[in-house]
Amino acid sequence: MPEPNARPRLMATSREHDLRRRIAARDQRALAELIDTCAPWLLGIAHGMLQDQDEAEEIVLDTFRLAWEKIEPPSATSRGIIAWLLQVTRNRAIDRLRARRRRSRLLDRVRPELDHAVAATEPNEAATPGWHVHREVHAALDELGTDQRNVVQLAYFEGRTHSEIAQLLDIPLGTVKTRLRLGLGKLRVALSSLKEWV
Amino acid sequence: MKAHDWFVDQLEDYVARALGPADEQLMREHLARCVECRVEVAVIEDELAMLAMAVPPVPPRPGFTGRVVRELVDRRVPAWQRWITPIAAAATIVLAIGLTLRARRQVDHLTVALQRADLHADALADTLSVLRQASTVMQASFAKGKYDGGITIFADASSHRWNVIVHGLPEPGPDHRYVFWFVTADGMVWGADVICEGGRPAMLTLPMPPGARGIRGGALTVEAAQADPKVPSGLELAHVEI
Repeated sequence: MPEPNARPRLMATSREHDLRRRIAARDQRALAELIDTCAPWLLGIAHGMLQDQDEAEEIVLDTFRLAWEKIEPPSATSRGIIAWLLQVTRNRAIDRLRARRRRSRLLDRVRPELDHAVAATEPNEAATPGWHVHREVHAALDELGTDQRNVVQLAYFEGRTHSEIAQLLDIPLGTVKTRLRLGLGKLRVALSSLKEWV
Repeated sequence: MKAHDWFVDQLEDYVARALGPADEQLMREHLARCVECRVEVAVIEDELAMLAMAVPPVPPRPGFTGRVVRELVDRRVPAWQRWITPIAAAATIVLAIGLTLRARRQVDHLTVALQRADLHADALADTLSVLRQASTVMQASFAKGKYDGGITIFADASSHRWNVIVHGLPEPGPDHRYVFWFVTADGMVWGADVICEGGRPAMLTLPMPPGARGIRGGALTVEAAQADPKVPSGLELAHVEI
């Protein structure tokens, strides 16, 4: 495992604290800095899940709106801004996906582009802040077996429930729960060290 | 297995959003009242949040940052709330001007009332000085029909002024008036009309009539309103002499 502190961080703790203080003080430039830093990753997850640029931008805008309203000065109980923004964006994208599905009343089939959306790519901007996290997350996903990875991807990136996954993959519900639990457990161990790199 | 164990067992699936709608709702209700599970959910969320970075970043379209900043900063306050401050400020200014004008009017009224009170106080002080320095006091009572009262005259020899107090006179009505006369060596000389409001005693402070000689007393008469104001011709109620 590489030494975490040797990696370029997406956002240093001191910078995160500085942004928290300035955003809490209604500093628009701090808000712009936060957007510049995080928007590509937030748009990435939103677009990857929704496959729609306009909807992805709406979701991300809502996420930053929440940040603008809720972010408080740093404290001992503060959670990482980026982790929080990613979680909010993903949850909102899942809500949007589920609403879309309720409207269509059709159970989607596993999208063939999913693997493509989550697959590691090597962009020419490999120096993008946070790119190393992207690589490490993929390494962690690759460590899972295919069965566990598929279940995790359907739940985490498509917002599928246990029942939907069982139906989509045509496997028993208990098997879905077991694979998901094992997969998430391994990822939690692998990703816990990545927290320090963000 | 206790009920709480079931919730603990589902925390990862909840964070992954794999629970069905009914279980997800149950979990939300449980988290609202269970600190222990809320803390554990926060830990799992933080650990799994980076999984979202498995999806490659998407560069924002040009101008995205500026658009978001404008959207959040401009729309953070609804339009009606943006207007409420200047409207409130304008209303406050108008109200302040109105209150100032009203206060100024009240000050003017109070100033006039104060000036009147000063004059009244001066008159009372003057009257008291006449009473205090009076060298001669003349008094007479009268009881003639509805006129049942009296007259008292304090004569101040040093300032040559008389303080005349009349009581017991009813209001004269529109056709009559009460007149105080100086009794002089040359006859009755008009001193002043006596105003009796509401039957209250009347008080007059009078200088000596110019050109009068040998002033020796005073008289009170009831005169017709149309009568010659300078010549006594009505009913004499009281007549006193030194």
